[in-house]
Amino acid sequence: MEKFISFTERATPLYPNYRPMYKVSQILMVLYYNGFAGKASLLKLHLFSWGLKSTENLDTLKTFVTSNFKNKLHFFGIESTLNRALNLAYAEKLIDFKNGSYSLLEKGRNFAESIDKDDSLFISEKQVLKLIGKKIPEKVINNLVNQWNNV
Amino acid sequence: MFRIRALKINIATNKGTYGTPLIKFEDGLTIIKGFNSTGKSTLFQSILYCLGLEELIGGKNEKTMQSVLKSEILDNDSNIEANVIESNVLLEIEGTRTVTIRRYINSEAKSSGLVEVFDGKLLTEPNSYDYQPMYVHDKGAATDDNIFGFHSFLEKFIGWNLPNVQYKDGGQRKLYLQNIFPSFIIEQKAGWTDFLSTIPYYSLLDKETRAVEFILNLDSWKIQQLKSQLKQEKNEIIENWKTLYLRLKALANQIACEVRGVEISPSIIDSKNAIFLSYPTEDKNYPLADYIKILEEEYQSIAILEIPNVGEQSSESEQKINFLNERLSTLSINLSNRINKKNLAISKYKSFKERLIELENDKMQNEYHLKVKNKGAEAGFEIAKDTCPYCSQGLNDSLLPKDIEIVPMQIEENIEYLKAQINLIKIYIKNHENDIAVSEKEIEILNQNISETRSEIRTLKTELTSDNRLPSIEMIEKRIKLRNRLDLYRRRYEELFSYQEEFKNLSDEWTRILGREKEIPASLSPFDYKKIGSLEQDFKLLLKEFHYRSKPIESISISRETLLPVVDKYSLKFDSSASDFTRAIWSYIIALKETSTKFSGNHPKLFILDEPGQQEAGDNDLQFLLKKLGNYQDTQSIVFSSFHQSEETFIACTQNVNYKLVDLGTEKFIKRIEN
Repeated sequence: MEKFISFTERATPLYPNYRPMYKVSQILMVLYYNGFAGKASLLKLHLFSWGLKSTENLDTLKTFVTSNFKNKLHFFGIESTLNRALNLAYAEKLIDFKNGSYSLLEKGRNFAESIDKDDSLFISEKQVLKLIGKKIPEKVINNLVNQWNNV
Repeated sequence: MFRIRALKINIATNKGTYGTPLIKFEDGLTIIKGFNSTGKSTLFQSILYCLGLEELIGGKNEKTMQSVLKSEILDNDSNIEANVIESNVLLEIEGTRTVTIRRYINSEAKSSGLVEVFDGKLLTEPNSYDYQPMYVHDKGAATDDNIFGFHSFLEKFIGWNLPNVQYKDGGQRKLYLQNIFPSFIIEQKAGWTDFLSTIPYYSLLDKETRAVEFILNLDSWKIQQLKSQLKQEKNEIIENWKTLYLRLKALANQIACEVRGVEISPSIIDSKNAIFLSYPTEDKNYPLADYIKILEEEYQSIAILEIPNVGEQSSESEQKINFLNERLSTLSINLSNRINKKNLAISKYKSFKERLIELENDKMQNEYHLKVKNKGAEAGFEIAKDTCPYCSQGLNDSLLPKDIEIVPMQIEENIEYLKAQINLIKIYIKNHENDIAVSEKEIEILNQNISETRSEIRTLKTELTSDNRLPSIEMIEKRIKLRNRLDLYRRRYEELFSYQEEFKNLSDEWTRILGREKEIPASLSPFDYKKIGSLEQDFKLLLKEFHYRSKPIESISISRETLLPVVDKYSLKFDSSASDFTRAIWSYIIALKETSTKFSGNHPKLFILDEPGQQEAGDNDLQFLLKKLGNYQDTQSIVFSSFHQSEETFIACTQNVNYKLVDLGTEKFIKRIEN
């Protein structure tokens, strides 16, 4: 007599960081709070995306900025999910891509503003992003990346 | 009682003074008749505005008012005739006494949140009356401790005492006046769309029901209040019980005993003696009283022995030292085992704690995601609906590349999953906390045993090296220690009595509260049922009188839960034609008044109805309504209507009706006033 074992595929829990709307909201917040004139390079977005991944990362990023970039930031991660989220946001006409930098479009800005107004959303994230503000010039990020290249 | 006695609108413009003549209102029915855009609505709204009730029209302060009072006055051909500089409304009202209210709509000097209350009949008997400024829509304007709160004043003026009710945020606050008035003042746009439909939203649970409860003065809110009071008393007992229990437990710990007969939460105790302390030994647990007896016997058996000399004792002492040394090493091994066990539990406990923080953080992020996703869906984002904006294919709510073949949980499911994890971790943490506490107690006992054993060995050793003729220190010390121990246990045993007493008192109080809780009706008292029965009867009679036909009258009832009319548990609204529903609203508001009058409830015996002949309710039936209102001697009814701009309709509707007429005519009612 033959016997069969059957498997049922169960849904897997997923980190919010891998969810489209979550990541897209983060991108919009970063552009809104931290982009010069609502603009930021891909690397800058990666830096912040890495920062928003955990409280430790966010702390490191915060000290990096508050120490006037004297504290070493050895490494920040690059992840493909951010690129996918950027594509989605672009297709949704929330952001634009021109001359190597991303910027907020009307629809995206409105959404970022509504997140800004909602006191129950991204409480600590917003606090730190606002504190960091527009204090990270693209040059600092480029320097960081150059250091890696030279190692 | 509450009455509108007189109304006057004043408008200062660049072309001189405009306004209405003085309009007086008596008891009984007053019909305010006027063509469309003569200013009927302006009059109606002015009354609400003066009472600080403009939220019933949908908004706060001057923005709810019509432009004639705010910006410009139009002539009959809709051309601008004059620009408004300042405007106000005066309203003379009668309650426990008569006062006159003035509120500004457009003014440089006076805020629209300000209401001036003149202490007298300023309109009907002009004189110099003193006045007091009060505030509306201000935080605290409705609370008792604010003497300048207009609504707090108005509440007392009408002779009401509004109850505290439960709001959705869990707080208990006063019911607002705005919550009550829609049961007898009905505005033409939203007012005829549902029962009590113009109650503003104050995050109040079942707002319509609260209003009806108050109008009929039901016991149900008193029951609610009693319930929450009992709940508070219960919490107090739970708190006191816990404190007492912890104190008793600390006392028990001092003498290595355990508490029996009571737990940390309150219970019903039959007799004081059910509470006792128990002394655990390896083979048996002794109630404290028994253990004290054992100690007493032991002490007596030692006390009768003669104290031997050291010399006589020496070989025995050596044996004892060996025995005690062995015991000491066993105890030490046990101790180190226990300490290891405890440290292991602590390190696990710490890692669970960290995991809990991670999970809670994770849960928060997931909740953020759910929120932004909903926000995005509201804003019409494709991503938020799980569709790819490029190809309209499903996104699976995941950013992972397509070749990773997993099915991610839906976000709600994900949150539930995390909640389950959090609960599990919390249980682990709790278990480990217990384990740690148990280990700590064991360690303490072992330490105590070790130090006792050591001290005994020391004593014996000292003895062996001392003069042979001296009396044995060991025996003396043993006697003294036992004596002390016995004293300590006796003292604690005596303390126990006061605990028994206190626990018994708390338990009796607890039993009393549980009993009272059982006595309270679920929500309505028998008297309430009687009132609602009467409301239902009155309501159905009126439906018949007004020729309601959408449903057989027998199938209609008043819900005992919501206190609103229903057919088979569903609102009457869904089963009625538009005109029939208007009739149902007439019937309901009149039935409320009649029932309230019958049982001396809180209805102020006042109706202000704006265009009750909505939805072609039928001129015939409108006549029934007017007749009904006209026949109430003790009630003031003010009805605004255009009567379809036809004199014939007006005559038909007012046939055999007792009323006084305020005719606004066919042209603009607000006119230039010649000085």
